[in-house]
Amino acid sequence: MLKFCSLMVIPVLVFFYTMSFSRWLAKRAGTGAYVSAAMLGVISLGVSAVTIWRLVM
Amino acid sequence: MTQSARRNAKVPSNEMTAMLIIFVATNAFLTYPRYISRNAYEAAWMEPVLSGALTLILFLIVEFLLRKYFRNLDIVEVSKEVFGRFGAGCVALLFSLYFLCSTAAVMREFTENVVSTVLPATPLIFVGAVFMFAVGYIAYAGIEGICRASFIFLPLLLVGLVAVCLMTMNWWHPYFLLPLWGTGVDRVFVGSFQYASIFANVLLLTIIYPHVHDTRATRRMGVVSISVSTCLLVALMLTYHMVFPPEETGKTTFALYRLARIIHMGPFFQRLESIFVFLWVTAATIRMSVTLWGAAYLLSKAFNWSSYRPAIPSLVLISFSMGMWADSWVQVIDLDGKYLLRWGWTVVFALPLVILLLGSTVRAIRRDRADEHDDNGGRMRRA
Amino acid sequence: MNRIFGGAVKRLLTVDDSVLDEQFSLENDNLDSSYQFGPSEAPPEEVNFTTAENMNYRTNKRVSMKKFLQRGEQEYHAAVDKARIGHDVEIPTHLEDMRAKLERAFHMPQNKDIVVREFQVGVEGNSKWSGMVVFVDGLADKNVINLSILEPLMILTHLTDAQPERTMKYVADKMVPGNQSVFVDSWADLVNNVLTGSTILWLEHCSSALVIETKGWEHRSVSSPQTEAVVRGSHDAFTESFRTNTGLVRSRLRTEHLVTEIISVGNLARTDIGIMYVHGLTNPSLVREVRKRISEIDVDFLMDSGMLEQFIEDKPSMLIPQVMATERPDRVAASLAEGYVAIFVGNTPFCLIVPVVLWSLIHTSEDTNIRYLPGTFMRVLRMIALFTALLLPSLYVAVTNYHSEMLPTDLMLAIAGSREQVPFPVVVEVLLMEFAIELIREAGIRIPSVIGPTIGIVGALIIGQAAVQAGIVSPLLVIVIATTALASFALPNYELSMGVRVLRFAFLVAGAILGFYGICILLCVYVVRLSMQKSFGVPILSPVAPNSGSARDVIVRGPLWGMNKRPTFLHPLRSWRQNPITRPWSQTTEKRAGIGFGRRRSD
Repeated sequence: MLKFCSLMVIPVLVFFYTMSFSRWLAKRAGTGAYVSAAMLGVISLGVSAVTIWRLVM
Repeated sequence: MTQSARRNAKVPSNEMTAMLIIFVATNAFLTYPRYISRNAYEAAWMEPVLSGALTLILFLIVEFLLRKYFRNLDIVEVSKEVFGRFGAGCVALLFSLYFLCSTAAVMREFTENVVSTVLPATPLIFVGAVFMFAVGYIAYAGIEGICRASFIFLPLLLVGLVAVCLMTMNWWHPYFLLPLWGTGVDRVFVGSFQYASIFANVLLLTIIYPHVHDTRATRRMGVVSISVSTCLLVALMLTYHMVFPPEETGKTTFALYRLARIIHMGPFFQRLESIFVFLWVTAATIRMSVTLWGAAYLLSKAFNWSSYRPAIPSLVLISFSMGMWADSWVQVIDLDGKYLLRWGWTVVFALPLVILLLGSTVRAIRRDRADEHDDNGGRMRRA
Repeated sequence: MNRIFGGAVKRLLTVDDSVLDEQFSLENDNLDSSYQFGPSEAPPEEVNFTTAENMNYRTNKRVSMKKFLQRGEQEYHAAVDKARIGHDVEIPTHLEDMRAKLERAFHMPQNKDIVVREFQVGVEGNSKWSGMVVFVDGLADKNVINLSILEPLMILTHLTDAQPERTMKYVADKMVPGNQSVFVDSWADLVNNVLTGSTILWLEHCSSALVIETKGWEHRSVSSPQTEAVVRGSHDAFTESFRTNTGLVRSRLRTEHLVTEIISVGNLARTDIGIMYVHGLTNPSLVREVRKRISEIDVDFLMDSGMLEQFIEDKPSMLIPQVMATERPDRVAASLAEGYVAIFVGNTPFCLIVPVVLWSLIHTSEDTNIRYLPGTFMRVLRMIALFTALLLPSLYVAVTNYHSEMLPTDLMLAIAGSREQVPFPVVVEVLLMEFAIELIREAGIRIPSVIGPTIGIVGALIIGQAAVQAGIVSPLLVIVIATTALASFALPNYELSMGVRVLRFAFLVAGAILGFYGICILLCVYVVRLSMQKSFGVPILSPVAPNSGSARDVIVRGPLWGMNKRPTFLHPLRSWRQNPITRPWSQTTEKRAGIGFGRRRSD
């Protein structure tokens, strides 16, 4: 579990980065861009969590 | 670096040519030799020639359409005209998914190559993560950076590939290439068509077209890049098939490594495969950054993002996860062969061509109508 | 004696916390802002320096970064404005006023550097006409002041005209034989001119003062270059004198189109910065950019070209320099003629050339002076040295750790045999030796020259030999590290070799962790990073990437008669630098002229 958590640090950081990107987009480009970027962040977090779980556990 | 963050960064044609050559020639280090060898046996070297010729024709058609109807537009903008915004989003999503899958497949194959050949004790996930970090960084630099790096590394690649071909000279058995047509003419043709997707030049052209510095040089760029990369692939396949008997060639997953391993030119020049690590790692990094950049760029176009760069870390994670999803190398090779290589042509050739043809028809009809309208107006005014 | 001893014993035995207050501290509450020793003997300070900006903030309240920076900017501007109070006023016309103002401005009488010599101009009749000269002791040439200013005015003059303004003009025109003299009207100009070594001649009842150029401080004479010595070529280098330096360049590049602009930077003390370029050749937007970057520097004091470099370069965090510092006037002259801009900073013996491309950092001025085949050989050698200095230790670590199969068996056995004694992993061994070499290099700069060679032998030979014999490092590694050190000293640019030195450790770590694979990945990333970096608008890897055609002067050195155009990446206003056919009498070279080898497009 510790290994999993330590490996998840990077995906979580990337997730926050992508979320702030989506908030930035909300100001500039509108809802569509906002939602799509947020979805990208969620997908990347989810997929990498599952993959790391499979690899480590 | 900020200067290059512009979306409409322009790249000189010789750097673009270098990038395209590396992009295609990288397939020599992937599973492509294995599949065409399995398909055509002794005639495997013909397949790149035929695929190259096919790509060249398609490239010229696509270039003509782009030049005539869609100057400074890319495939997403063209499909916006044909299918509307939603359709264009779907098309872009499809392409970027293809690119992501391609990045993931290449990443996994190369990581496995690295682990099995030079770093047997290092964990796969670490090697892959380093790879993806580098790729992400390079893609973040944008198409300008990628193309400049390609231009710098291209001589290395050319020298290296030619060296591999020539340094195995003492193992050549030219009669391994006979019978000339291998498994038969029809299989060779079908195989060439099926595995033509490695020449992604057509799709890439439709994406990078607005970035070309000098659109007049595009045709030359395509012709040079396709012919040089075809020559490289053919030279490698010929050498490979002259060194190993045909039954064996379809079983190796990493043709170049096997070739490099047997180099033995006296006691000092032997077992040089480690030096070729430089060659294939550089080429792979550039190829993967192109596909990753393509994915990010298309997504940003599809969803109207004002910059593609902040999406790169997420895309790196996604393609890394996709690459690590499969349990074993064999599974990856299987999946790659079954889907990406076999059906890649639909995305790489068919779809862009269809979109461009539809788009040009739409434009031609509109132009006719406008002309008619003008004529009518003129007539009415005259009346 | 007894008393001293008794005092010590008493201090030992009594509890006295006044010991803590005995030491002087700057952090006391006494906000007396004057610099006087005792009761007032000088005029009071005109400006109150003790305001918010130099009070230490004792508050724990947190402020946002933006607010903090804003506050800093405001305080800085307030301080600068205060320091400039009185600068824009006119020059007094009465002797008493002038004396008082000078004393206030230069903090006299505590300040002993400023010399104010009052005198009487020789006038016919009884009326007397006072005047004074003001200069800084040590900056001005006293002979000039005595013989060319004071003597004519005091001894040789017998004026009759009573109108001071007219007479002042007459004095400047006829009587003071200084080669450069100019009238100044504002107080700020007067002060600045005094500080640059000129002498101010002021006469009573005149509203302007005469500035006479008398600069004459001591400086090192022109000597041979310390870091860029060559065999074939000139042997003079810049020195610690602004005007000598510009003169050295101008004496080589004798064109009326060579322009030297001077910008003064610094609010507390001003430093002259010279921007030199060839008018009508250098790209004007490059000159504008240089001028803009320099004039926007808002600091108290800028001393050296190394400091200026960090203020104006594009990305100071890069390890590769984006400005070329040179001490060779011939190099500056050649660069100016190609379309570069040269920057001289005050009295520093290094001149900056901008923009810079990576390749020019491994060129020397000698390359052009010797024939092109040896020139090319030397450049290729330096290119190899660059890669050796960067990669050799990491390649050694990678080969011994991960790729030992690529070595011939005998060599591999030899390495393994020599390493058998060594208790450390290879990377630790390499780091130890690198540390020793870096120490020798760093110490070599500072060791007194008398014992330098001895210590060099001790460091290089004895430590190396002893380390091998003690079994701490393997003999092959000593060769590797020595070669690396030699290669890094072969790089002609000091800043580049420092950058390479640091980068080498990154590659060493990459090689130790991931072998060739790690080195290769890092190399890819760094090449991309470099290819995206610009120096004053020019990509640092040009003309290779982006490829701009004029690639004949990069790694190879093309024949001089074939390099007809200036580097295109500089976008000069005049692109041809010579007639395409410069050797018309020679049949062989005439054919090649304008076509040449190693070039991609016809220049």
